[in-house]
Amino acid sequence: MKQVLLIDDDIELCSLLTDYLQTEGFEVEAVHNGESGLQKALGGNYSIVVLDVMLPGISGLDVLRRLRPQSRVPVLLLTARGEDVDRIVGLELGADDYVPKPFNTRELLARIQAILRRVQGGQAPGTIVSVGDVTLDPGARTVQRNGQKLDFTSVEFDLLRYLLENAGNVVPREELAERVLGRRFSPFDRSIDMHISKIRRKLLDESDDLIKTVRGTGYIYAKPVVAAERTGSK
Amino acid sequence: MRSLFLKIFLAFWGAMAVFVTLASITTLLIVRFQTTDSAMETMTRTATQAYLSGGPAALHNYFHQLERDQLFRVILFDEQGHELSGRPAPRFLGSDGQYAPPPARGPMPPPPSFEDLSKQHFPKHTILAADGHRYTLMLLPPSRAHLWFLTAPTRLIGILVGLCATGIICFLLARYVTRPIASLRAASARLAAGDLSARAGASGIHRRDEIGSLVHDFDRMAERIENLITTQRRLLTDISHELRSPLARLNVAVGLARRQAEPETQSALERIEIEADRLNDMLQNLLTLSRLESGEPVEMRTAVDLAPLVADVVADADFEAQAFGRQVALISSTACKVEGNITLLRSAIENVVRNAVRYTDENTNVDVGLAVRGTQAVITVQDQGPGVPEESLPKLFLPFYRVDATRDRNTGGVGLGLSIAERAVRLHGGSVVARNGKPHGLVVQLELPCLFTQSPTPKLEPATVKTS
Repeated sequence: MKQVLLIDDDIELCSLLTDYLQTEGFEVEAVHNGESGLQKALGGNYSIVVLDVMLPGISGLDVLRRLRPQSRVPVLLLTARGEDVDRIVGLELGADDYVPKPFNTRELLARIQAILRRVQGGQAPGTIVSVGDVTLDPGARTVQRNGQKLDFTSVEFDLLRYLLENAGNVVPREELAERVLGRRFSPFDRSIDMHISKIRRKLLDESDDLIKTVRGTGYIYAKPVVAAERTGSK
Repeated sequence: MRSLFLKIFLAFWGAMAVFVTLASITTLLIVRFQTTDSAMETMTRTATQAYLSGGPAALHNYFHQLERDQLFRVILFDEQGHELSGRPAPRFLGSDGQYAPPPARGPMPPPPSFEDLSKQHFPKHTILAADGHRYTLMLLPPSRAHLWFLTAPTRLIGILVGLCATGIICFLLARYVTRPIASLRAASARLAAGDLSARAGASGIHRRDEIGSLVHDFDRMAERIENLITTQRRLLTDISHELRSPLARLNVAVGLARRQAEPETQSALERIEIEADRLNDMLQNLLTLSRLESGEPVEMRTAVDLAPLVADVVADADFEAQAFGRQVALISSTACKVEGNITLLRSAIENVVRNAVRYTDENTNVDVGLAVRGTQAVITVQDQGPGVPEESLPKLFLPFYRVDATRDRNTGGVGLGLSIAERAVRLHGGSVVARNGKPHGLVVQLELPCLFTQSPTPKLEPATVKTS
């Protein structure tokens, strides 16, 4: 059974959510402050952490900041509506996705399931993808560039894997949303763009020449030929 | 401000300059022609006494002393018409009482006699002295050179000094009057522009006169307005924040209920869920709006390339609009950058475009254009809808404003999108205007000040693959 760690200070909301998620077949553990939430997340073996941004004491973002260096457990942020900054910072800090709160329960469920499906799918052995000087190993979930190991969160890893597997082709944002994030694409949702910009930075791809933006459509990972030429000219 | 200052300054200064000039001229006239009888009597007696006690030399001294202070020349005659000081009356006395120029040739004419001078009606005074003789004192105008020497520079210096002094006084006076007015004007302009902390008395005007009271009253009014508006805003923000938690619980409870409900209650629960979603959206917009209005510092220093941003928003909106049988098209674009916050700019453009999509007729286009006009980047969004009554145009950007309540309800809008767009654009130093298009539809224009970078050559974007 899937274990969900729910970190939210609203006790009544937690109890309702626990009931709801239990009817969906999850086992839920709820904690109501950041400090013990962080301890639980680090200690327990949870499938996913649902983390509210606005917490008394240390905030949800601080929990995430301290959690990430030690754990890759998927994190779904509950951001406050109207606080766009939290959302951006949260994804920067390595959250897998976010749901603005108050939320529709079906949307929350869909996002939780999408993350879990993606993480599970990632554990299935796959072939090593190598494009130019970037090598991605789906089995070990590692990425290397020029022999240097790079660290990606699971959602970033899956997005990069999808782009690498389709290198040379334009991948629409709709496709990335549906196939990688596992949810229907909503046009004004910028989370894919934010993840991609983070991946670019981690690839040390400041000049955007590995992952190119196709305005209004999606992204394309540059063909190996281009990458090889670029390396050769250096 | 300048003009009122100038008006007051010039009016006062002009008036004072005329006064000073007139005063200096009148003084001369008084000195020259209005010697009183008693002064004549005194002068005659003193002169006679000087002559009788000290002879011509003493008289000469007295005259010298007299003429140093006054502008006229003085002559004393005895009964026989002899001049007594040994100093003859000035020659060249013309028939009109002025000094005649010397003749061009021939001998100098003799000095005028008592009889000659008497014909000229110069002021004169005769007394009977202690020795039993009569003495006559006569005043003559000074020589022309003497007169000029005494009067012209005096008058000039007098006028100059007068002008400078009055100039300084009038400047200070005009400034004293207009400074509080200028500061009132600046404060009310800032207040009108939305800076509720603007006060006129802040520039150190502490006066107890009428203008001082006006400044004081203005500041009290501004403070009251600030309190009212801050309270209202805080109320709106607090309510929205407080609504978040119960609404979150309500959402989960509805979700839970739908899991367990009988089929016949499903449709009602679905309705509750839709309304809860609507409340969620409204709350989000309200919080965004109150955040924009709160004046909280926002990161605004990024150079934002408008062309790709607008293209992006148009592509997204088109994707969304096609589901409702409408289209969004980018009809013109140009390279330009503005300084600001990309999230806010995107949300401003998005809200205007979404609003247009909501009202444009089915199977029509929303046209979006980006142009540079002078120093302003202009984003124009035109729909093919029914437009808006002229009198409603300025109110479109007020929160919760609805042109027509019955029609708007179907569209799902709550009247916050355009307010958010307007606040976001204003935060960037720009403006939003709405007008009716021809032949129909609404045109909304966002104007934003362009950022002119030092290097005019546009940076190539290798990340952009052009697709047509």
